[in-house]
Amino acid sequence: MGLIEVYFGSIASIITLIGLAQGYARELGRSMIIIVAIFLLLYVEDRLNPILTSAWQMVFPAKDLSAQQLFLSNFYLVAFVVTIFAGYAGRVITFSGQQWPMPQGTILSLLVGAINGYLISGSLWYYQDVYGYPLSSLGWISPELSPIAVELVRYLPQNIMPSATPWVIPIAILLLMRVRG
Amino acid sequence: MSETTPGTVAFVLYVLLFGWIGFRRGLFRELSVLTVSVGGFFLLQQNQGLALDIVRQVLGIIFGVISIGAKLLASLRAGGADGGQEPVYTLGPSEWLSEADQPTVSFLVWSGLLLLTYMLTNKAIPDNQSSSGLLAAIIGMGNGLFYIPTFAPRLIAFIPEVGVASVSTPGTGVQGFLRSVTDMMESNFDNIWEALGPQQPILAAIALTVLLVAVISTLRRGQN
Repeated sequence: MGLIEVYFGSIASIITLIGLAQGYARELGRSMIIIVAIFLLLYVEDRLNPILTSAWQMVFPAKDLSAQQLFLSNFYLVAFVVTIFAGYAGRVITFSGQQWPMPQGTILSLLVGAINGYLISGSLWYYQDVYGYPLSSLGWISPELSPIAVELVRYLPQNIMPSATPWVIPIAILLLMRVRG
Repeated sequence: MSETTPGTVAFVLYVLLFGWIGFRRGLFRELSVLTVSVGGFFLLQQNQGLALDIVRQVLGIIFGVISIGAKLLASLRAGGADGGQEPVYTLGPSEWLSEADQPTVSFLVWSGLLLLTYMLTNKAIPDNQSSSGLLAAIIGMGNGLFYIPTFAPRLIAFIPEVGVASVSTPGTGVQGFLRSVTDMMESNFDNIWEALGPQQPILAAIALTVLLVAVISTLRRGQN
Protein backbone atom coordinates (compact mmCIF):
# COMPACT_ATOMS: atom_id res chain seq x y z
CA MET A 1 0.00 0.00 0.00
CA GLY A 2 1.45 3.28 -1.08
CA LEU A 3 0.78 6.81 0.08
CA ILE A 4 -2.73 7.94 -0.76
CA GLU A 5 -1.53 11.24 -2.27
CA VAL A 6 0.72 9.34 -4.68
CA TYR A 7 -2.19 7.03 -5.55
CA PHE A 8 -4.58 9.86 -6.41
CA GLY A 9 -1.78 12.01 -7.81
CA SER A 10 -1.04 9.24 -10.31
CA ILE A 11 -4.69 9.20 -11.40
CA ALA A 12 -4.58 12.99 -11.88
CA SER A 13 -1.33 12.70 -13.87
CA ILE A 14 -2.79 10.05 -16.18
CA ILE A 15 -5.87 12.22 -16.84
CA THR A 16 -3.61 15.22 -17.47
CA LEU A 17 -1.69 13.20 -20.06
CA ILE A 18 -4.96 12.11 -21.69
CA GLY A 19 -5.85 15.80 -21.90
CA LEU A 20 -2.52 16.51 -23.53
CA ALA A 21 -3.08 13.76 -26.08
CA GLN A 22 -6.67 14.70 -26.84
CA GLY A 23 -6.28 18.47 -27.05
CA TYR A 24 -8.04 21.11 -25.03
CA ALA A 25 -10.89 21.61 -27.51
CA ARG A 26 -12.19 18.14 -26.61
CA GLU A 27 -11.14 18.29 -22.95
CA LEU A 28 -13.27 21.38 -22.29
CA GLY A 29 -16.43 19.39 -23.06
CA ARG A 30 -15.27 16.76 -20.60
CA SER A 31 -14.65 19.41 -17.98
CA MET A 32 -18.30 20.30 -18.32
CA ILE A 33 -19.39 16.66 -17.86
CA ILE A 34 -17.15 16.31 -14.80
CA ILE A 35 -18.55 19.47 -13.22
CA VAL A 36 -22.11 18.29 -13.94
CA ALA A 37 -21.31 14.92 -12.31
CA ILE A 38 -19.89 16.64 -9.23
CA PHE A 39 -22.93 18.92 -9.01
CA LEU A 40 -25.43 16.05 -9.36
CA LEU A 41 -23.78 13.86 -6.77
CA LEU A 42 -23.46 16.71 -4.28
CA TYR A 43 -27.09 17.66 -4.91
CA VAL A 44 -28.52 14.17 -4.38
CA GLU A 45 -26.12 12.95 -1.68
CA ASP A 46 -28.02 14.27 1.35
CA ARG A 47 -31.37 13.21 -0.08
CA LEU A 48 -30.19 9.83 -1.31
CA ASN A 49 -28.13 8.69 1.67
CA PRO A 50 -31.12 7.88 3.96
CA ILE A 51 -32.74 5.86 1.15
CA LEU A 52 -29.51 4.00 0.38
CA THR A 53 -28.91 3.32 4.07
CA SER A 54 -32.45 1.98 4.51
CA ALA A 55 -32.06 -0.24 1.45
CA TRP A 56 -28.74 -1.53 2.78
CA GLN A 57 -30.23 -2.30 6.20
CA MET A 58 -33.15 -4.14 4.60
CA VAL A 59 -30.75 -6.44 2.74
CA PHE A 60 -28.17 -6.72 5.54
CA PRO A 61 -29.95 -6.30 8.89
CA ALA A 62 -26.76 -6.85 10.93
CA LYS A 63 -25.25 -3.53 12.03
CA ASP A 64 -21.94 -3.23 10.26
CA LEU A 65 -21.10 0.41 9.93
CA SER A 66 -17.88 -0.10 7.97
CA ALA A 67 -19.64 -2.26 5.37
CA GLN A 68 -22.39 0.34 5.11
CA GLN A 69 -19.82 3.10 4.60
CA LEU A 70 -18.12 0.96 1.96
CA PHE A 71 -21.45 0.54 0.19
CA LEU A 72 -22.22 4.28 0.24
CA SER A 73 -18.73 5.22 -0.86
CA ASN A 74 -18.74 2.69 -3.67
CA PHE A 75 -22.18 3.80 -4.81
CA TYR A 76 -20.98 7.38 -5.37
CA LEU A 77 -17.66 6.16 -6.72
CA VAL A 78 -19.34 3.96 -9.33
CA ALA A 79 -21.91 6.65 -10.21
CA PHE A 80 -19.14 9.20 -10.69
CA VAL A 81 -16.90 6.87 -12.68
CA VAL A 82 -19.78 5.79 -14.97
CA THR A 83 -20.66 9.44 -15.69
CA ILE A 84 -17.05 10.34 -16.38
CA PHE A 85 -16.55 7.25 -18.53
CA ALA A 86 -19.58 8.27 -20.58
CA GLY A 87 -17.98 11.68 -21.01
CA TYR A 88 -14.72 10.20 -22.19
CA ALA A 89 -15.97 7.25 -24.22
CA GLY A 90 -19.23 8.59 -25.58
CA ARG A 91 -20.08 11.55 -27.73
CA VAL A 92 -18.08 14.50 -26.48
CA ILE A 93 -19.52 17.99 -26.13
CA THR A 94 -17.24 20.21 -28.18
CA PHE A 95 -16.82 23.95 -28.35
CA SER A 96 -16.58 25.42 -31.83
CA GLY A 97 -13.33 26.86 -33.09
CA GLN A 98 -9.84 25.66 -33.59
CA GLN A 99 -7.37 25.31 -30.80
CA TRP A 100 -4.11 27.19 -30.76
CA PRO A 101 -1.11 25.53 -32.38
CA MET A 102 1.96 24.39 -30.46
CA PRO A 103 3.40 25.36 -28.04
CA GLN A 104 0.56 27.46 -26.58
CA GLY A 105 -2.03 24.84 -27.56
CA THR A 106 -0.04 22.10 -25.85
CA ILE A 107 0.27 24.15 -22.67
CA LEU A 108 -3.47 24.87 -22.68
CA SER A 109 -4.18 21.16 -23.23
CA LEU A 110 -1.98 20.39 -20.24
CA LEU A 111 -3.77 23.05 -18.20
CA VAL A 112 -7.29 21.79 -19.01
CA GLY A 113 -6.10 18.19 -18.59
CA ALA A 114 -4.72 19.11 -15.18
CA ILE A 115 -8.03 20.74 -14.19
CA ASN A 116 -9.90 17.58 -15.25
CA GLY A 117 -7.34 15.45 -13.43
CA TYR A 118 -7.77 17.48 -10.28
CA LEU A 119 -11.57 17.34 -10.48
CA ILE A 120 -11.74 13.59 -11.16
CA SER A 121 -8.98 12.45 -8.83
CA GLY A 122 -10.09 14.92 -6.15
CA SER A 123 -13.68 13.67 -6.33
CA LEU A 124 -12.59 10.02 -6.05
CA TRP A 125 -10.48 10.96 -3.05
CA TYR A 126 -13.37 12.95 -1.54
CA TYR A 127 -15.74 9.96 -1.63
CA GLN A 128 -13.10 7.96 0.20
CA ASP A 129 -12.39 10.70 2.72
CA VAL A 130 -15.99 11.56 3.55
CA TYR A 131 -16.86 7.91 4.28
CA GLY A 132 -13.73 7.23 6.35
CA TYR A 133 -11.60 5.50 3.70
CA PRO A 134 -13.69 2.28 3.50
CA LEU A 135 -11.42 0.84 0.78
CA SER A 136 -8.75 0.48 3.46
CA SER A 137 -10.80 -2.39 4.92
CA LEU A 138 -10.10 -4.25 1.67
CA GLY A 139 -6.42 -3.40 2.00
CA TRP A 140 -6.36 -1.26 -1.14
CA ILE A 141 -5.33 1.99 0.48
CA SER A 142 -3.72 2.98 3.72
CA PRO A 143 -6.07 4.66 6.23
CA GLU A 144 -3.10 6.51 7.78
CA LEU A 145 -2.81 9.93 6.17
CA SER A 146 0.54 11.65 5.91
CA PRO A 147 0.73 15.37 6.88
CA ILE A 148 0.83 16.17 3.16
CA ALA A 149 -2.36 14.17 2.53
CA VAL A 150 -4.12 15.88 5.46
CA GLU A 151 -3.26 19.24 3.95
CA LEU A 152 -4.28 18.22 0.41
CA VAL A 153 -7.67 16.91 1.62
CA ARG A 154 -8.62 20.50 2.48
CA TYR A 155 -8.24 21.41 -1.20
CA LEU A 156 -10.35 18.63 -2.71
CA PRO A 157 -12.99 20.06 -5.10
CA GLN A 158 -15.96 19.17 -2.89
CA ASN A 159 -14.21 20.52 0.20
CA ILE A 160 -13.57 23.85 -1.51
CA MET A 161 -17.14 24.01 -2.82
CA PRO A 162 -19.12 21.81 -0.40
CA SER A 163 -22.54 22.98 -1.56
CA ALA A 164 -23.95 22.04 -4.96
CA THR A 165 -25.02 25.63 -5.70
CA PRO A 166 -21.64 27.18 -6.66
CA TRP A 167 -21.07 24.39 -9.19
CA VAL A 168 -24.05 25.70 -11.15
CA ILE A 169 -22.02 28.82 -12.09
CA PRO A 170 -19.46 27.10 -14.36
CA ILE A 171 -22.13 24.74 -15.72
CA ALA A 172 -24.45 27.61 -16.67
CA ILE A 173 -21.73 29.77 -18.19
CA LEU A 174 -20.16 26.91 -20.16
CA LEU A 175 -23.58 25.83 -21.36
CA LEU A 176 -24.33 29.37 -22.54
CA MET A 177 -21.02 29.54 -24.36
CA ARG A 178 -21.66 26.15 -25.97
CA VAL A 179 -25.14 27.15 -27.15
CA ARG A 180 -23.90 30.51 -28.40
CA GLY A 181 -21.26 28.65 -30.42
CA MET B 1 -14.28 50.57 6.94
CA SER B 2 -12.49 47.66 8.62
CA GLU B 3 -8.80 47.41 9.55
CA THR B 4 -8.18 44.94 6.75
CA THR B 5 -9.53 47.23 4.01
CA PRO B 6 -6.15 48.82 3.09
CA GLY B 7 -4.61 45.37 2.91
CA THR B 8 -7.43 44.12 0.72
CA VAL B 9 -7.14 47.14 -1.57
CA ALA B 10 -3.35 46.66 -1.78
CA PHE B 11 -3.84 42.99 -2.58
CA VAL B 12 -6.40 43.74 -5.31
CA LEU B 13 -4.14 46.43 -6.81
CA TYR B 14 -1.19 44.04 -6.72
CA VAL B 15 -3.17 41.29 -8.47
CA LEU B 16 -4.56 43.78 -11.02
CA LEU B 17 -1.06 45.06 -11.72
CA PHE B 18 0.18 41.57 -12.51
CA GLY B 19 -2.98 40.93 -14.53
CA TRP B 20 -2.24 44.03 -16.56
CA ILE B 21 1.42 42.98 -17.02
CA GLY B 22 0.18 39.57 -18.16
CA PHE B 23 -2.28 41.16 -20.58
CA ARG B 24 0.46 43.38 -22.04
CA ARG B 25 3.11 40.68 -22.30
CA GLY B 26 0.79 38.00 -23.68
CA LEU B 27 0.08 34.38 -22.89
CA PHE B 28 3.21 32.63 -24.15
CA ARG B 29 5.59 34.96 -22.35
CA GLU B 30 3.65 34.73 -19.11
CA LEU B 31 3.42 30.94 -19.31
CA SER B 32 7.17 30.76 -19.87
CA VAL B 33 7.73 32.89 -16.79
CA LEU B 34 5.26 30.80 -14.77
CA THR B 35 6.99 27.58 -15.79
CA VAL B 36 10.43 28.91 -14.91
CA SER B 37 9.34 30.54 -11.66
CA VAL B 38 7.31 27.61 -10.28
CA GLY B 39 9.53 24.85 -11.70
CA GLY B 40 12.75 26.65 -10.80
CA PHE B 41 11.56 27.47 -7.30
CA PHE B 42 10.68 23.92 -6.36
CA LEU B 43 13.71 22.42 -8.11
CA LEU B 44 16.04 24.79 -6.30
CA GLN B 45 14.26 24.17 -2.99
CA GLN B 46 15.01 20.49 -3.34
CA ASN B 47 18.54 20.86 -4.72
CA GLN B 48 19.95 23.69 -2.66
CA GLY B 49 23.31 21.90 -2.29
CA LEU B 50 23.59 21.45 -6.04
CA ALA B 51 22.75 25.14 -6.60
CA LEU B 52 25.49 26.13 -4.16
CA ASP B 53 27.99 23.84 -5.93
CA ILE B 54 27.14 25.31 -9.34
CA VAL B 55 27.43 28.87 -8.03
CA ARG B 56 30.78 27.95 -6.45
CA GLN B 57 31.99 26.48 -9.76
CA VAL B 58 30.92 29.57 -11.71
CA LEU B 59 32.44 31.89 -9.14
CA GLY B 60 35.57 29.70 -9.14
CA ILE B 61 35.99 30.33 -12.88
CA ILE B 62 35.41 34.07 -12.41
CA PHE B 63 37.86 34.21 -9.50
CA GLY B 64 40.34 32.17 -11.52
CA VAL B 65 40.18 34.67 -14.37
CA ILE B 66 40.53 37.57 -11.90
CA SER B 67 43.48 35.84 -10.24
CA ILE B 68 45.25 35.30 -13.57
CA GLY B 69 44.54 38.94 -14.52
CA ALA B 70 45.87 40.15 -11.17
CA LYS B 71 49.03 38.08 -11.53
CA LEU B 72 49.53 39.32 -15.07
CA LEU B 73 49.07 42.90 -13.92
CA ALA B 74 51.48 42.38 -11.05
CA SER B 75 54.06 40.87 -13.41
CA LEU B 76 53.68 43.78 -15.82
CA ARG B 77 54.17 46.24 -12.98
CA ALA B 78 57.19 44.34 -11.74
CA GLY B 79 58.53 44.16 -15.29
CA GLY B 80 59.31 40.49 -15.09
CA ALA B 81 57.70 37.32 -16.41
CA ASP B 82 57.64 35.68 -12.94
CA GLY B 83 55.13 38.16 -11.56
CA GLY B 84 57.49 39.81 -9.15
CA GLN B 85 58.20 38.77 -5.57
CA GLU B 86 54.90 39.73 -3.90
CA PRO B 87 52.23 37.02 -3.95
CA VAL B 88 48.71 38.01 -5.13
CA TYR B 89 45.87 36.99 -2.80
CA THR B 90 42.35 36.44 -4.05
CA LEU B 91 39.33 35.22 -2.07
CA GLY B 92 38.02 31.78 -3.16
CA PRO B 93 34.23 31.18 -3.55
CA SER B 94 34.20 28.51 -0.83
CA GLU B 95 35.63 31.01 1.62
CA TRP B 96 32.63 33.30 1.56
CA LEU B 97 29.92 30.81 0.57
CA SER B 98 29.41 28.30 3.37
CA GLU B 99 26.88 25.45 3.52
CA ALA B 100 24.69 27.66 5.71
CA ASP B 101 24.22 29.99 2.72
CA GLN B 102 22.38 27.34 0.69
CA PRO B 103 18.86 28.86 1.03
CA THR B 104 20.13 32.36 0.28
CA VAL B 105 22.12 31.22 -2.75
CA SER B 106 19.24 29.16 -4.17
CA PHE B 107 16.86 32.09 -3.67
CA LEU B 108 19.27 34.49 -5.39
CA VAL B 109 19.75 32.03 -8.28
CA TRP B 110 16.00 31.72 -8.61
CA SER B 111 15.52 35.52 -8.56
CA GLY B 112 18.21 35.95 -11.21
CA LEU B 113 16.67 33.22 -13.32
CA LEU B 114 13.27 34.88 -13.03
CA LEU B 115 14.61 38.29 -14.04
CA LEU B 116 16.46 36.75 -16.96
CA THR B 117 13.29 34.93 -18.08
CA TYR B 118 11.29 38.17 -18.00
CA MET B 119 13.95 39.92 -20.12
CA LEU B 120 14.57 37.02 -22.51
CA THR B 121 10.89 36.33 -23.16
CA ASN B 122 10.40 40.02 -23.97
CA LYS B 123 13.15 39.84 -26.58
CA ALA B 124 12.90 36.28 -27.88
CA ILE B 125 9.14 35.84 -28.23
CA PRO B 126 7.58 38.02 -30.91
CA ASP B 127 4.35 39.88 -30.12
CA ASN B 128 2.32 37.89 -32.64
CA GLN B 129 3.26 34.62 -30.90
CA SER B 130 2.25 35.83 -27.46
CA SER B 131 -1.33 36.92 -27.77
CA SER B 132 -2.91 39.20 -25.22
CA GLY B 133 -6.23 38.35 -23.66
CA LEU B 134 -8.09 37.27 -20.58
CA LEU B 135 -6.08 34.08 -20.22
CA ALA B 136 -2.79 35.97 -20.43
CA ALA B 137 -4.07 38.31 -17.70
CA ILE B 138 -5.07 35.33 -15.53
CA ILE B 139 -1.64 33.70 -15.94
CA GLY B 140 -0.08 37.08 -15.11
CA MET B 141 -2.16 37.21 -11.92
CA GLY B 142 -1.07 33.65 -11.18
CA ASN B 143 2.56 34.76 -11.45
CA GLY B 144 1.86 37.64 -9.09
CA LEU B 145 0.16 35.36 -6.58
CA PHE B 146 3.09 32.96 -6.69
CA TYR B 147 5.51 35.75 -5.86
CA ILE B 148 3.66 36.67 -2.65
CA PRO B 149 4.67 33.61 -0.62
CA THR B 150 8.12 33.46 -2.22
CA PHE B 151 9.15 37.10 -1.83
CA ALA B 152 7.04 38.26 1.13
CA PRO B 153 8.82 36.25 3.87
CA ARG B 154 12.16 37.64 2.74
CA LEU B 155 10.92 41.19 2.26
CA ILE B 156 9.31 41.42 5.66
CA ALA B 157 11.92 39.44 7.55
CA PHE B 158 12.84 42.71 9.25
CA ILE B 159 9.37 42.96 10.79
CA PRO B 160 9.12 39.81 12.95
CA GLU B 161 5.70 40.64 14.37
CA VAL B 162 4.13 40.12 10.94
CA GLY B 163 5.01 36.44 11.37
CA VAL B 164 4.94 35.13 7.82
CA ALA B 165 6.47 31.66 7.78
CA SER B 166 9.37 30.70 5.55
CA VAL B 167 8.75 28.17 2.82
CA SER B 168 12.32 26.99 2.45
CA THR B 169 11.98 23.32 3.29
CA PRO B 170 14.54 21.27 1.44
CA GLY B 171 13.68 17.73 0.50
CA THR B 172 14.15 15.23 -2.24
CA GLY B 173 11.99 13.34 -4.71
CA VAL B 174 8.22 13.43 -4.99
CA GLN B 175 7.81 13.71 -1.22
CA GLY B 176 10.15 16.69 -1.08
CA PHE B 177 8.29 18.35 -3.92
CA LEU B 178 4.90 17.75 -2.30
CA ARG B 179 6.28 18.93 1.05
CA SER B 180 7.41 22.19 -0.57
CA VAL B 181 3.99 22.67 -2.18
CA THR B 182 2.05 21.94 1.00
CA ASP B 183 4.43 24.10 3.05
CA MET B 184 3.59 26.95 0.74
CA MET B 185 -0.14 26.23 1.03
CA GLU B 186 0.05 26.02 4.82
CA SER B 187 2.12 29.14 5.29
CA ASN B 188 0.91 31.79 2.91
CA PHE B 189 -1.69 30.72 0.35
CA ASP B 190 -3.55 29.40 3.35
CA ASN B 191 -3.59 32.87 4.88
CA ILE B 192 -4.99 34.38 1.70
CA TRP B 193 -7.50 31.55 1.41
CA GLU B 194 -8.59 31.89 5.03
CA ALA B 195 -8.99 35.63 4.59
CA LEU B 196 -11.67 34.99 1.95
CA GLY B 197 -13.82 33.41 4.68
CA PRO B 198 -17.34 32.41 3.70
CA GLN B 199 -16.82 33.73 0.17
CA GLN B 200 -14.42 30.86 -0.60
CA PRO B 201 -16.85 28.56 -2.50
CA ILE B 202 -18.33 31.29 -4.68
CA LEU B 203 -14.90 32.76 -5.46
CA ALA B 204 -13.56 29.29 -6.28
CA ALA B 205 -16.52 28.74 -8.62
CA ILE B 206 -15.93 32.11 -10.30
CA ALA B 207 -12.20 31.39 -10.63
CA LEU B 208 -12.88 28.00 -12.24
CA THR B 209 -15.45 29.54 -14.59
CA VAL B 210 -13.21 32.45 -15.62
CA LEU B 211 -10.33 30.06 -16.28
CA LEU B 212 -12.45 27.76 -18.46
CA VAL B 213 -14.08 30.69 -20.28
CA ALA B 214 -10.64 32.16 -20.94
CA VAL B 215 -9.50 28.87 -22.49
CA ILE B 216 -12.70 28.65 -24.56
CA SER B 217 -12.14 32.22 -25.81
CA THR B 218 -8.85 31.09 -27.38
CA LEU B 219 -10.83 28.60 -29.48
CA ARG B 220 -12.97 31.37 -30.88
CA ARG B 221 -9.96 33.48 -31.71
CA GLY B 222 -8.46 30.53 -33.57
CA GLN B 223 -11.48 30.41 -35.82
CA ASN B 224 -10.81 33.81 -37.35
